[in-house]
Amino acid sequence: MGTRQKTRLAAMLAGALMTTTTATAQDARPDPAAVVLPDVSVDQNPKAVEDGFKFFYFHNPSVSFDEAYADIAECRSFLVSGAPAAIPGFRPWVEPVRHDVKRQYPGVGLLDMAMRSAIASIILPKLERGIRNNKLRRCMEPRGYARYPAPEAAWQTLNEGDEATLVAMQAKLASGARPNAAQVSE
Amino acid sequence: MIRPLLLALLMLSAAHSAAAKGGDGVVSHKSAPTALDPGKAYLLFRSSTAKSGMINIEHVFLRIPTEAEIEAWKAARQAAYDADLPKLQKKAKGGPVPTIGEYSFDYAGPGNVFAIDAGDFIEDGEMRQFLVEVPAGDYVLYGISVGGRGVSTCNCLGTVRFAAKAGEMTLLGSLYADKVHKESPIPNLEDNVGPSMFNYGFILGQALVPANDATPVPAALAALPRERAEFRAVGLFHEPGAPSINRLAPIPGILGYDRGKVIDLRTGQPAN
Repeated sequence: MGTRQKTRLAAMLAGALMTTTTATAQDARPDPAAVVLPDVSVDQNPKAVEDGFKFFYFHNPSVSFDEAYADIAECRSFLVSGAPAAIPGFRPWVEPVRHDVKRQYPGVGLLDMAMRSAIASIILPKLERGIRNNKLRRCMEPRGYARYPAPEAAWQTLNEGDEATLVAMQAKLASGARPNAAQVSE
Repeated sequence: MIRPLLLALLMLSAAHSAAAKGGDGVVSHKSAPTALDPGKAYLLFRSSTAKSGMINIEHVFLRIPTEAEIEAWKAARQAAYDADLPKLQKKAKGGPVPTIGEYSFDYAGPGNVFAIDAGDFIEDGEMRQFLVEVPAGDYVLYGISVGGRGVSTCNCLGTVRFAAKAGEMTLLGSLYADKVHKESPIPNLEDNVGPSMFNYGFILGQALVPANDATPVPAALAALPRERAEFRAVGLFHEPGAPSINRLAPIPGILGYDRGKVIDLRTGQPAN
């Protein structure tokens, strides 16, 4: 591996750490037996099955906990958020770049601003979740992972909080027993 | 009802009204030059012409910056960070102050990432021909843009790079791009990548068919010096500002994938 490649690999890891304490494949693995999982059962929860395309977790019958941990950590590193990357522009390539989201309300009154904020508060969380889900799916599905529905509360436990804990929980689910629920197909 | 609004939001968020298309030293020729500038490189490629609604879907390139450019960017970032530090400390109100790695700033130096305006072609057709004058260097097929003002989808999960030498046209071949959440009429793409990927955003895909003996070259350019690009696989990279991530479609003999790994098919080894 050349110097440029090593630098870019370091940049990948730095990028993952840029806005969150993302777990990396190099982290010491937790003992899966010690990882506590939320209840992801949807047997009596048709709403959770219906909303599976929004709230899901991944499972792959052919991976170990360590493999799942590495895959999930790597794919979640792409969730590092930023403002739209304007072009033309400069990317150092070997260095992560942060693009802050700058909220702009150009020359409008307070009412308009309030309405924009109200609409944004409804839409933006859904938009952000959809974007994150799409990124994870495009990264995880070619690696052989399928989606299974989870109740929204369990999904939140699996996706909000300490990054290393989230990765460990998702890796345990992903490499554990095949879920009873049907795969998310929509 | 919500989908068009969300798409409009995405489009607006990708817009950057102050920026001009192209980039530093990047010029799309709309007519054949009589001779090539020996100090410039030229990219010659064919492209599909898909749109998202009324907006062109365009190819985004990155020129790998020189060490000097990277150092200049780092120095500018350091200077901006130092100047902003009192404000950052005040804003933090005793909490953690962003590190320089977490610091965002507007860089005024020369750019190295640009989209090719779909209207600036040298020859029209179902596949348009483009001749783009660029600084000599190594280039990456970086991603796809809707409208050309922002990176809509990066090829963060795998792509290729190539060298463009001064004084000659580098023949890339044919580039294809479209939305790929469902089946696309544009050939060669990895499309239909998954249901419900269009709910709260869209995903674009790109494909490359490298130039070969049969790749047409506009007659007006036939006498100018040219060389086929040699492509090499490029591994994962981050583009935090891209709303979606994807990979360049596999290219026989050049670019392959094994689960999440990018494989350089020339060597059979994972790409860096």
